[in-house]
Amino acid sequence: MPYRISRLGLVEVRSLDLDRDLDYYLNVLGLQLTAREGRTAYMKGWDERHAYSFVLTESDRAGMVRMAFRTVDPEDLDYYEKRLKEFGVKYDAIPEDYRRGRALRFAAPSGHTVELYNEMEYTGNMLPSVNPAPWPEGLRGIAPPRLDHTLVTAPEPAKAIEFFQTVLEFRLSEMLVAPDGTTIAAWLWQRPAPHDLAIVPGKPGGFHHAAFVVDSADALFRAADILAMHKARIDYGPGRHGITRGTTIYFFDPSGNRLETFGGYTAYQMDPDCRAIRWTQDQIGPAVFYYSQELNETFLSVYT
Amino acid sequence: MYTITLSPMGAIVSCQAEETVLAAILGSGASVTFGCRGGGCGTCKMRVIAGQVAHGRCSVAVLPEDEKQSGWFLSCQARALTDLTIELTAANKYRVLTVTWAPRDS
Repeated sequence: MPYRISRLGLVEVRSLDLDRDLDYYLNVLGLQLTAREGRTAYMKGWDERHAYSFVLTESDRAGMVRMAFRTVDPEDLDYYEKRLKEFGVKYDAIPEDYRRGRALRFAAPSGHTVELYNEMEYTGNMLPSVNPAPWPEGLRGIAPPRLDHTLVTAPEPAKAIEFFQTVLEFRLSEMLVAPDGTTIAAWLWQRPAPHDLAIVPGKPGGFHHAAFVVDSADALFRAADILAMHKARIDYGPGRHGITRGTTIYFFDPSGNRLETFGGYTAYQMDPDCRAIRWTQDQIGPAVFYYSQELNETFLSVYT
Repeated sequence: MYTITLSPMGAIVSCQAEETVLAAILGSGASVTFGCRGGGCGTCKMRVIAGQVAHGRCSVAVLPEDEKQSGWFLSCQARALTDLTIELTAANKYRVLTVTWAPRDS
């Protein structure tokens, strides 16, 4: 089975105060501003080659508006449209929106708005396409190169996980399993990385976090320094997850949305025939926070 | 400077006009539960039973208008406008921290 989704293309998150939060996203997290259009700002990491990957929209609440996955080829969008029809999933076909081509929008059983698209304006990254340096000078803040994955909550995680596996053909990299064999949480992938999407128990439509790549030990500690220098609220870390092996800092934006630095340098890559790693429920502590070996109070209960 | 009385334990906390209620309680050497500290998650919710707060920016998903009217507020965003009496519940997990730098009596 070929994989048809190249990446988590974008997430859109709500902000209680766009001016305040945009300053944080550009100068503390260090994303690059593509454009601000009214009450919405479009951003991306410095190494992303399409127009945007993170959208911040002012609202009266925090949380996720939508997540969108980019297909590998334009034909994959037609393939998924067929599958949505086959499985009786109601969807809207969006002809074209901000610097992006046609998209399919539907509700997942987890209560999230999910989109699939292929075309987005190719802007290039912050480096020349001929004889580039390894990284651009003059970056501000943590300056992650790109968006990595998102983790969301679902009242019936097993159902939501099955939807992404069956209809959208995501594969499982890791799963947390109850003594009776029920899947409590799962990490799902399409590009050969530990995950593009993870689903844990919680309220419908809940946004646990979006993660940006911070891929060396130096960069990890520098990121934590920057967050502390700006008095940002760090939730956990720097640390390591048992699941995915990735390094992590969980922290919150000024509206209370959780973000993460996720370290690719310890995370593995998947081959198409890799089987899911199982974590038993009694090991949830080291599965989530490998060093402290126990969950903190906020991991399961605090999200937007 | 305002005085916050925490009910039912009767603890007294002093609160600067510019600091949040949560910061004042944490600064008093006690601990209460809180989450995002951004007004988005609702974990630090409390109810004022006497006095007035300025709510600050809070998500209506976790602090709807009718709850505001009944005295609920998010302590990570709210500032005291008067002396306050706040009712804490088990959900707030209030406890006095016993570890301090103060020299022990000998």
